[in-house]
Amino acid sequence: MSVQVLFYLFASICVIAAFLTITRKNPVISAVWLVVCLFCVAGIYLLLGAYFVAAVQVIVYAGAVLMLFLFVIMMLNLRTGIVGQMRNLGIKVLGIGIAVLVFHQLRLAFKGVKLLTGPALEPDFGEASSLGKLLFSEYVYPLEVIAILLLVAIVGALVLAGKERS
Amino acid sequence: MIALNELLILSAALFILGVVGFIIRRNILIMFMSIELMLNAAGIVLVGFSNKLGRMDPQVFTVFVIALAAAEAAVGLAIIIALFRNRESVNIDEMKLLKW
Repeated sequence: MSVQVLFYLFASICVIAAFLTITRKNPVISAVWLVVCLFCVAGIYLLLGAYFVAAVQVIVYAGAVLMLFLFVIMMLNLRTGIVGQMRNLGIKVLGIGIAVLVFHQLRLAFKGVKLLTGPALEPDFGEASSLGKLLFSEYVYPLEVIAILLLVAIVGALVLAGKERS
Repeated sequence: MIALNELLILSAALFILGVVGFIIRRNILIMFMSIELMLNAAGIVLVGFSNKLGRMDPQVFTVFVIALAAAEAAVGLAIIIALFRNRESVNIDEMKLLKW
């Protein structure tokens, strides 16, 4: 089935890109691999029928947030000496150990998950209209909180990164 | 049809790559990207359950998570810029003023 094949394709590209993100020395290359990873996550959202969320993922994440990252990396003007290096070997081993442990635990937990076959999806599932109805009826207070949060973030970013007061 | 187990394992793999990246790197920018990876892992789980349960509610939360990530990136990168101004570095091992 082609959905299955596409899912495996997106999933493998996603994991490989994530791995390259955390192992590249140069942050610019890391950011570009992160864009690849986020695009693949958007593809998986599409396969799951969440069309609007996939669009938001591409526009906000791969578009805005990663652009912000690249701008900041270029603004900082990193010299090659301070770009690089992993931590020392002990921390690396600790990190990989934690990874193996957590992955093992999660795998054990997922063994118990029953294969859900829920109700058939409604025709407007994942579209902007049904999401908007939910957003402005049931979740209107969280929406307001997010709006305030974004405002605070804008002001905070300006205060933190704005002109220095000497 | 995508099986729920496979989705959960994919999200676990992404989350763990995020955790490992956060632990082993000393470049604060890449630590930040690792946080984005972890947020995406959460998003995959939410959308996967939304598909399996036939409900839209988890997708609302995914949109909230994306908005949150945008806010977090803005403030965090502002902090990084301020830090870089003071220290001329993005290496977190050099930022140990509060460490006793």
